[in-house]
Amino acid sequence: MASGHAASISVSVFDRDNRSVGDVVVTATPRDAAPPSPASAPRAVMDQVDRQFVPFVLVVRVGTEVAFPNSDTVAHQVYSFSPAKRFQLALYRGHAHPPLLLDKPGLVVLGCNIHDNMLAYIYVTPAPYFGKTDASGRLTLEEMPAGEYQVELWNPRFNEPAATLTRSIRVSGDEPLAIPVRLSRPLSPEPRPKPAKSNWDDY
Amino acid sequence: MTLFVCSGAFAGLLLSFAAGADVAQEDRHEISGQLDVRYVDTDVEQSFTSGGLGLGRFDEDHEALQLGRSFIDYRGRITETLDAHVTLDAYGDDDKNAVDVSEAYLEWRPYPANDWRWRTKVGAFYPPISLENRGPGWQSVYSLSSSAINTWLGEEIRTVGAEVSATWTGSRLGKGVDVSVIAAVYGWNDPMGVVIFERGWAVHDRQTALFGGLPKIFAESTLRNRIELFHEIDDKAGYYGCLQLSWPDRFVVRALHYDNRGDPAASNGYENAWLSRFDSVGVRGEWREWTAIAQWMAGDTAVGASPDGRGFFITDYDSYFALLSYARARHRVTARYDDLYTETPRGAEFFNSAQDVDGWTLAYLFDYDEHWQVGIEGLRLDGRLEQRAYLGLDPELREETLQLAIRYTF
Repeated sequence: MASGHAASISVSVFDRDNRSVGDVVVTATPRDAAPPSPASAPRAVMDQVDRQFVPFVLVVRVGTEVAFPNSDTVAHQVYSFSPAKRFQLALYRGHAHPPLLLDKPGLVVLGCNIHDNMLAYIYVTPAPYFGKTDASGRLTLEEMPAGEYQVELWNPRFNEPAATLTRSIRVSGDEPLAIPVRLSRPLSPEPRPKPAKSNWDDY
Repeated sequence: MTLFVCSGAFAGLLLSFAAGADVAQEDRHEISGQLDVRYVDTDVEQSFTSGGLGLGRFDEDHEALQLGRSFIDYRGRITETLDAHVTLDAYGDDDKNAVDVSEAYLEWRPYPANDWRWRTKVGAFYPPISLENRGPGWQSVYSLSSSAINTWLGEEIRTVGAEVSATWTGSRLGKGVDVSVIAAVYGWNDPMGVVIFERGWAVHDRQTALFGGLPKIFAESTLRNRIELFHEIDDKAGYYGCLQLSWPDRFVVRALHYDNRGDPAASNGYENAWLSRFDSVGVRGEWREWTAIAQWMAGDTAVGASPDGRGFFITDYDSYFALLSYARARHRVTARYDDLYTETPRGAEFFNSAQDVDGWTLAYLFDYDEHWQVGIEGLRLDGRLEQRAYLGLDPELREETLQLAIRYTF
């Protein structure tokens, strides 16, 4: 059981050619202790900027309310047919929408029915500790109470066996824990095309 | 004179639309458009737009200051998933209507419920053939003129009917590629084929409007001296089917089979129905600042009663082009080679449609800002067009056109 100590864990992800991999979702679930529940529904934002979703990958805890503000001057029609959350949300200028409650764990793949090349992912996790790697492929989770954790990694481009992406770790004392991850298989093609020149046909 | 009257009226219309756009209800209506003025220097003797056999849009009687291609493109939302789309064109030449419609259709875009995306269009619109006419108003974004193949689409072809496309969105699943199957049924385009039969392929940027027409080149009467292309004559529907593979933003390959199932013996007293069929293949690759496009099309067209029902005249046509474009910052340079070919295996003793022409295009486009664009294009067409002999001209032709375009888009 947790001894009252806390430490940070640092995850770094590199591909086979030693290039850093950003936007990797990292979740850490305590093996024994029940994860503390948040006092109120956390909030997160999935914006639309220059006909792209921002961020490309968003990781939130189950029960989070996600807002879709639409910073573009054009309309978007955001949808998901993922089992974790099916919805259709028309984002027109001058219409504010209440945030969307993500109440089931799983992956929510977003698209826009007007702009076919828009794509983003919301990773909805029950884990109390989570984050995603930055452009240098690194993520530090601070103040992790001592104990055993199951750490899982996800990215839409991964082709890895589960063993690479799931780790059991022990956080003890005040020692920071480094978790370097080297991918064994090539990444899938980048699923998000470049934003098309605004008024060109995509075809 | 006509030019200035037309362009003045059109500019007024443009301005009233543009003013309306500012106060449009939220974003239910989107209006874009272009005003385009050209300075033209050409040695084309008599353009097809004036009833000649010149392959360019402008000729020695239509030089210097000319109206380029001005249009208004309107997209409106009727319901959340049903859009209306209308394009109005003005060319400042002596077509029947100074302002006319080039495309008008409804598009239904239901929200995807799985990895397939469905689109349905009903109305009058272009079949999915061109890989260069990607701009608003079906304008090429690489040069002022379109290739011979896509020029012909603009001249003679519009789908007046319904098209359904289904796309498997593999790129969203990390598979890299999207696969589309597209099919359409259409009518009201039975005269298609007459222009390529009479004149062969051409290279320009003029799109025939739905209610307009092109001058008849070999007019047999003065009663009706325009070819009106968008009529139903034989009461038979045509179709096309298309397969497309797309690696978004990298590579597109598209193949299409087209058959208007025309009855070459049918006529409405003014126009004949033509039996026109073709196959088309196109590829486009994009890599950093570079774009390469190649398209090929080959088919035939037939008209007139014959014992076997295949037509009194049969003309074969094929064309291909290769385009290379380099864009950096606000500059774009494009070079294109077009190969234009027709021959007449049946009926040539009465009218020999035969063309063998090489086309070279070099264009430079400069985006001064998001509204103003300057374009310069040189075009040379070089080869033989046998039917020029019927007008007392040398079948050997060499036509050169230099254009400067100043465009304002909004």
